[in-house]
Amino acid sequence: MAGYLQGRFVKSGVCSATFSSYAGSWTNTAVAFSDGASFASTDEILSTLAAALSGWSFAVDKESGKIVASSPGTQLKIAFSTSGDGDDLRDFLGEAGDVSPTATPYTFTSAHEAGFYPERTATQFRRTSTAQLRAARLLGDKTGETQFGPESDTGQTQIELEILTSTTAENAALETFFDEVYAAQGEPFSYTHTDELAHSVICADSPNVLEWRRLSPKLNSYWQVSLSLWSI
Amino acid sequence: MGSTLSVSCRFTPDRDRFTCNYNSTGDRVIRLTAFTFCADLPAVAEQVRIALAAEYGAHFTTGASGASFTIESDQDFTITWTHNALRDYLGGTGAGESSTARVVSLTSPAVIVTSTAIQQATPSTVYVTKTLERRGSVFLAKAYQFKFTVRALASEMPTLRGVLGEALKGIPLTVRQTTDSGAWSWANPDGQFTGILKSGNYSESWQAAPVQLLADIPLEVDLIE
Repeated sequence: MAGYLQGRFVKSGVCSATFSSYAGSWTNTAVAFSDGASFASTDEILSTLAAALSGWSFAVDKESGKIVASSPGTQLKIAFSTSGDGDDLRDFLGEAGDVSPTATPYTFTSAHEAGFYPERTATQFRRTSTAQLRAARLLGDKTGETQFGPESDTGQTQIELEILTSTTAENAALETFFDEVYAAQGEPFSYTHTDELAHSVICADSPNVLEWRRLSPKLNSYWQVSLSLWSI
Repeated sequence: MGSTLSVSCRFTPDRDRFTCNYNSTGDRVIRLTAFTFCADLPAVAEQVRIALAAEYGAHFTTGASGASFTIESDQDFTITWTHNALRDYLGGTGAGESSTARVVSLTSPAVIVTSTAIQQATPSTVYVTKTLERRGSVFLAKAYQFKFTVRALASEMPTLRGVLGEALKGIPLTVRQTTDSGAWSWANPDGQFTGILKSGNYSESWQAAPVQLLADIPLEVDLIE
């Protein structure tokens, strides 16, 4: 599995989404989202939904970036409330309106916002430094003491990520990813490497410069983009 | 196949007119549309043709290829340079030009076509961000930069220095990477782009020239829309 990037989502205002499955009759389950509910990635939203909905499963199609929902029975429908601000969740997931009764599994209309799924695995994903966030001082007996114990903080870990893209269309998709991250929900965003562990990260540099380097002068070359990240 | 670097031209009040005498009918002032921005020489040629057509109808054609600029007519004509800045951009000399075989041919010092294509063209997307309490980092601005290396023969260096000398004044530079005249985009990654040369990155030192007769000069521009 090639690694991928996903933006985070913070709910603005309360809302609920009602997921209905049909197996002879409709079974409706409402999932409520509170104001400020925060999800580190699309995957985290989907796992939250799957946990709240018995028999449902969700996945992102890595080719199209679209969410695929599967329900018990033969049909499903989804209604997003707009009494709070339901639209932002609906839009983030890639729908323009409620989902009318349709066969299960169902592929959402559009790719979810802030997702980047490259064809190739990142060529480099490594920790470059770790810093503990505790103030320390040296005592007279040459021992040290710290303001916080190691259990009270996780420190900072810097990561170097080298993304490999196959086409200029993938470059455009990566640029769109950052456009959507910065324009909407902001950092941090999530990187999932081949180990399938999601890392919540922010860009270490400001301004954040994405320098697109061709690996060879040939027109159909691969491209490489280096990202210096803080894992948080 | 080489690349083309062109200093842009804007018809500011010191470079927006010249005088033309077509078929000995007397001097007429040819006014270019004020403040029009032309990214390269072909764009200037088209504006000159439009201005001549406004005064004389369809008696003139203009052309630009590389650094070559021509004005052609169906009768003899003379040009008197009213504005030296425009003359210098187009490559004119002295007070004016007389047509030879009804053509005025000039070589613009504002353009260089290198014998070797630019190397290592590297676009960058720059996000200037600001961190907010709840929403994390959002962007205040987005811009593009382009790094590339001009590879020039020693014989091309004087012209290149002239072009870069103008660009270093902050005049936008248009770079045509190949023969592709379309604008750069991810859908057209070898298209041409226009930007402001970052003066701090220009150096006369010839870096890593693989052959003594070639100079590799790394440059960086901030793209303008």
